[in-house]
Amino acid sequence: MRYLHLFLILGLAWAGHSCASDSFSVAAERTVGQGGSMARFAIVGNTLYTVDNTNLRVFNIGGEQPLAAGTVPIGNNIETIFPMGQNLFVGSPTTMYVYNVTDPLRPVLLSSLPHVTGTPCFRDPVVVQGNYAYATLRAETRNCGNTVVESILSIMDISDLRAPRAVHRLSLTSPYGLGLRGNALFVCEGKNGLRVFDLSNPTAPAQRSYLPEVKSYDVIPLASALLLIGEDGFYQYDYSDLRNLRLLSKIPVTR
Amino acid sequence: MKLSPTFWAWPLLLGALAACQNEEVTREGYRPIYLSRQEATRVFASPARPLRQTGKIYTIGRWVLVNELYQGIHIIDNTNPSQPERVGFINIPGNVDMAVKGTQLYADNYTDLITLDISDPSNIRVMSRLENVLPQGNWTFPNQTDVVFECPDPAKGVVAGWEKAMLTNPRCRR
Repeated sequence: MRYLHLFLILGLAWAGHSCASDSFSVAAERTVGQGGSMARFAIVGNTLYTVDNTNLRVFNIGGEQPLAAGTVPIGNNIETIFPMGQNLFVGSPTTMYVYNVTDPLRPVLLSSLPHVTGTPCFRDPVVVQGNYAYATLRAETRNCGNTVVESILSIMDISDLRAPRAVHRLSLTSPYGLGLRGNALFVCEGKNGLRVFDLSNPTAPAQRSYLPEVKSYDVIPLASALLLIGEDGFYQYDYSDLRNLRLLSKIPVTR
Repeated sequence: MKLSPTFWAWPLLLGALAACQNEEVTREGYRPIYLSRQEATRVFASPARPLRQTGKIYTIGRWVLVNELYQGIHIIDNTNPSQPERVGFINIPGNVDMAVKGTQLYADNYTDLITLDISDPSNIRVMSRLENVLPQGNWTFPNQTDVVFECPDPAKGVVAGWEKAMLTNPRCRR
């Protein structure tokens, strides 16, 4: 038993040491990093996926250098890609697409769920947790013709990836990126600030705070802090209290 | 009756004027700003610099990467989220997106996909380059709508941006 303790202490010391070492030490283990919801690049295992306006592009990054491994046509105005397990969630103004990448170089379309019928007036990142996907749709005035549109947060039940369904929607002002972790959901509203929701009920986010002065474009909620990028700088917040986010640091933009 | 040469000259002159009106239209629109292939693919590390026009964010381990729109990537040591430290900048023309696996950073450099070795943030180097595998994206046309613009000519280099200009017979519009 004594030895077990010693072993644990040594293990902890080693872990602490490797965290503090002076290079991309975590990276050295070939781990994959994490992007925001606006990302158009995503890595799953040994494959890099990129989306452009109409295609999903596949690159094998298992070897010495990346190899272009194919292109899968998706649709129009594709904007974002979010990896979760062996699936990719691709956002477009009108539709959320789900691709399975169990066979990494041959993505298979599982489903496509239209957000709304009508014209592509939206911008549309999507993030996923558990059985639910969350997408923001930003209404834009141009190209919308006479259609009256509203910016929303759309919540989709994805427990059956082959048949996702919209279950709830919330009105928003001018959404961009979004991020979630545990019970916290953050929605960037561009020049209109940041909204913080409690996700205790995953289909009914409850707004806990609103920071109108924080111009926000995208977020990555880590365990240690919320990373936030906006036109005024890079911010980090302690979000242990969703009603009262505490600013940890800010690297301001210099103009 | 013999027609004078001036008689024949009139229709020719009118025709020429009409042709001028059809072919010599000058309008305000957008003209591509070209970068030579050499300039467009110049990727290098430099000391930390201020954030100016922020783009996307990415994180791995204690590092945070912040895109500087179309310029490159800020490297931030985020060991202490209360005191993040800018430690360097990677100049990547046309860059918007990034992803990291292990010590390798994948980034778009206009239409090229480049791989960078970032194991030592003070000595970043390009490991490989896949040319023209990413789409033109934002570069094929100006951001503005309902405008005319000079159609890009790949022979002139990489389109790095757009400037307002008086254009003669612009053929492209959106």
